[in-house]
Amino acid sequence: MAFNKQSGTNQLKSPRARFLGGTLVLEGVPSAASPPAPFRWINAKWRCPAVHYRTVRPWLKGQGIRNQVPRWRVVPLVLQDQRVLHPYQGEGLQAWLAADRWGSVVLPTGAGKTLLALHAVAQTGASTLVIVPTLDLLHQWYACLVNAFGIPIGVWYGQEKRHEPITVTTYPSAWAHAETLGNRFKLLVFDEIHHLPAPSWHEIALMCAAPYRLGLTATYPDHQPDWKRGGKGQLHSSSVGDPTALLDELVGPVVYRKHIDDLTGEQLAEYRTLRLRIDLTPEERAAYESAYAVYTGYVREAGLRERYGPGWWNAFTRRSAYQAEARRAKVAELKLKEIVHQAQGKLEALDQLLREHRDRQMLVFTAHNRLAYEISRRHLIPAITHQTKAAERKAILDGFRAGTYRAVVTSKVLNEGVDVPEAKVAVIMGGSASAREYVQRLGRVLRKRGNAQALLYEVIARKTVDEGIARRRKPR
Amino acid sequence: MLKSELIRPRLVIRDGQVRPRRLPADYRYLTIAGELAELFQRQLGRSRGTLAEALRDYEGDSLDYPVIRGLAAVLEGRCTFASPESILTKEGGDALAVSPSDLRAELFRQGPVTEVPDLFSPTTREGVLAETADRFGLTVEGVETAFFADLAEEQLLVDPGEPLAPGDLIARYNLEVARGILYWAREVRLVVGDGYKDLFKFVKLFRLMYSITPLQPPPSEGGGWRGGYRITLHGPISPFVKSTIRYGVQFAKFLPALLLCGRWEMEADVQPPGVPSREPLRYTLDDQTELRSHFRASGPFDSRLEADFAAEFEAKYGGDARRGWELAREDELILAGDAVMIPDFSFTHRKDGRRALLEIVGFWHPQYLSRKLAKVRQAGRKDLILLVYKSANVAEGEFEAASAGEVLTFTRKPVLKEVLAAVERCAVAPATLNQKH
Repeated sequence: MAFNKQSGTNQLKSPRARFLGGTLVLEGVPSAASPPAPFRWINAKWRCPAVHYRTVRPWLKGQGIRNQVPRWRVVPLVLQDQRVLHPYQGEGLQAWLAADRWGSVVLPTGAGKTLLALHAVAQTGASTLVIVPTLDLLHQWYACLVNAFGIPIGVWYGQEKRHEPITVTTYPSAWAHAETLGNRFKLLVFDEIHHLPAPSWHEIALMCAAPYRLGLTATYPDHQPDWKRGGKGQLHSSSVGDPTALLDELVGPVVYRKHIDDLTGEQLAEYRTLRLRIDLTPEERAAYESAYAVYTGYVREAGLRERYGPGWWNAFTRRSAYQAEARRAKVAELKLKEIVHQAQGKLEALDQLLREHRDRQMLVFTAHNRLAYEISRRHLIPAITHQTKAAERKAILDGFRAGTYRAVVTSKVLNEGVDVPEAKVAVIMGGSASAREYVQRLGRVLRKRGNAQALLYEVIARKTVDEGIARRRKPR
Repeated sequence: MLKSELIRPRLVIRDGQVRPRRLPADYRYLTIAGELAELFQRQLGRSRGTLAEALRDYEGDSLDYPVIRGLAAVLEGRCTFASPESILTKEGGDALAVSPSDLRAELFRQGPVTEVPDLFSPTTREGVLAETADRFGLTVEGVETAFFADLAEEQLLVDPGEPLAPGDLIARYNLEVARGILYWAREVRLVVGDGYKDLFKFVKLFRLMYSITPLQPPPSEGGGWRGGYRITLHGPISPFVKSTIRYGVQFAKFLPALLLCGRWEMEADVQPPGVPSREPLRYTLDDQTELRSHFRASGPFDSRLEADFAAEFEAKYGGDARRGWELAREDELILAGDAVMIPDFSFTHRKDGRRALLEIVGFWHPQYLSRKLAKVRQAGRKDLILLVYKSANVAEGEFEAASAGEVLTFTRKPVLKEVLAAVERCAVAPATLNQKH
């Protein structure tokens, strides 16, 4: 192939627009040109953030600039979900379509935002990226999209990076890969969009070229940044001013909002809590007592509770990074918790429960992956942990719903607002003391269904820290 | 590269500066490094999970746990792991008849089983396993091995990598911690005086952008000016956001490339998490650092043509250190739009300091030539001489049309005398150097 004289000259002269790492770059457009406002002359080229693709597209066309930005494509979609939209869902969808597919829909929790989004995706029929805050929601969306469209769905997060015309990802992954994902999707769906104004995360919206965007939430931010109120700060500290204004610019305004308080008619079923107390084996007891002595000995001697009050445990953790005694006590604490979590007696109790409730769907919760895998091997029941890939996880949950699998064991991954099939028996083998987690687990297992009474077992090691944890676990 | 939680405990923050706490190669840490390296060697053939347990036991309640974990992470990065499934396959010859996840699905379909026998359900674990093993032509042990063979913890250590001497492990660890600080860097500013070719090779490899300004030659130095550039590294979105740490990992990957240079300084704006400071911290490094690169520097010449040219020049003109032209290799950058061009040679006149640049265009791929042509055109430099190989994949007159300077063509070997004559004609006085920028 000989070098062609013409192509060399043409390449320079024929102007084109391309996507580069979250920005739009005009090639072959001289500094003397006057492109629309978002473009700035930087490093010898006209450049702007990719979010402006939607507004500058007509100008590119008018100027005859070759548009090499989009890498998305048309995806013929047939929605297989037969559920009829509620009137408010239909209104929300129409409002979004009328707003040129640019903006957010605010509906209360449980009002069926996902179904509305599925219709929006179907109506757009193009490459779509769904961005969600947690891995659990990622798995849930994955399952919904597979069921709704019957085509392969991509997932893009730490463990699995599989790209398909319709892909689900998390905010952190979308942030990390915005420069490569940014021009592959025509529609972005931001689930729980109130997370987007967080520092760094808004870069996702800034660096994507998608001209269609749908935000979903029950709690649209007011003028105070949501991430400031809610617990842990994200990656970084640059302050984001007015979150509402930022969302307006990056995703569009709220196009539909409905408060329907009476929608949340879900109730917890009647259930019974049963505590199973087991004894540690003599060996476990001996190891436990010696670890416990080191741990409490230090906490008492150092006067941590007196000195730090409710924050004593954090102070303890901090000290363990530089003080030998504290470090020893920390290791002892981890050791004794491990003994309690993996106590032989708990496994025996589970064995018994599996026999007793042979005919009922059972969910088993463990504190750690390791125990989940051990139970899975020992009893031949599927395990779901954060390592379980999307397809297998869906197959397990489908199998559980269909009754192919009678029991599922899981570490903490099934928390927070994820639809999991209800079970009639739940067993907590250990877990954090967080009351919130407890209630969420209860709510999941014990959804009202007919008259069958649900059972919740807590397996507790007698005379150990377990008893304190179980006590604290009850909602205050 | 280490996880950020292994970096944070090693940061020293003071007066708006951040630096890594250097790990000394003293008796204590050399011992730890040596013991860890041995531990990895001993774990050959065992699983990741077992390795993790062995490391936890080794760590015990030592206060050095962040260091131990960091050193172990460096060693683990050198290891090769393989799924037990692939090992089964290797030993048995045939590919496994069933994937671990399908095998599990089959086993779970028959579960749950209980330890204590149950009157109502005679299925036992042993029974299910034996029957399933039969069906897939495996042994019961094979089923146990394949059960979770796709989990990371079950992967086997098949090669712990080349042994690393304790001192080298510590040196590598110190480099990794220094790199880690850059995870939280918003911007990295460099002053560099040599080694441009490798530097820009890695800048490009790690998809970074840059802006460059030449250092002004001090008036006193005239002909003795050693050159050098101020280079700011960032990414495409940087100019449009107040600050971003999204290029931090790329900066961290890049750092060893900077260590390949001979004369350099670095200054980074860093915002580590949990540091309550409105202004970013500074992390500075320069060519006096103890840190050593593990990247390989490329050789001095890219091609035979260039090496021959330099050798011939040295043989014929190199002897006279007082008069005539001094030849140097790749010591000046030409900014061509948003790209950078590094001419192969520079000629500096020993007396009056006049300079000219030379680029040898050999037989290269057409795409390469087309990029080169565009750069030459963008550069628009009169003091840039092109030495073009006649049967290069390019139409005649193409380079002449693009270049602002002289173009010489050669068929087999450039004639040195002609080149020097062109240098005489094109060289410009140092005062006008870099005026373009």
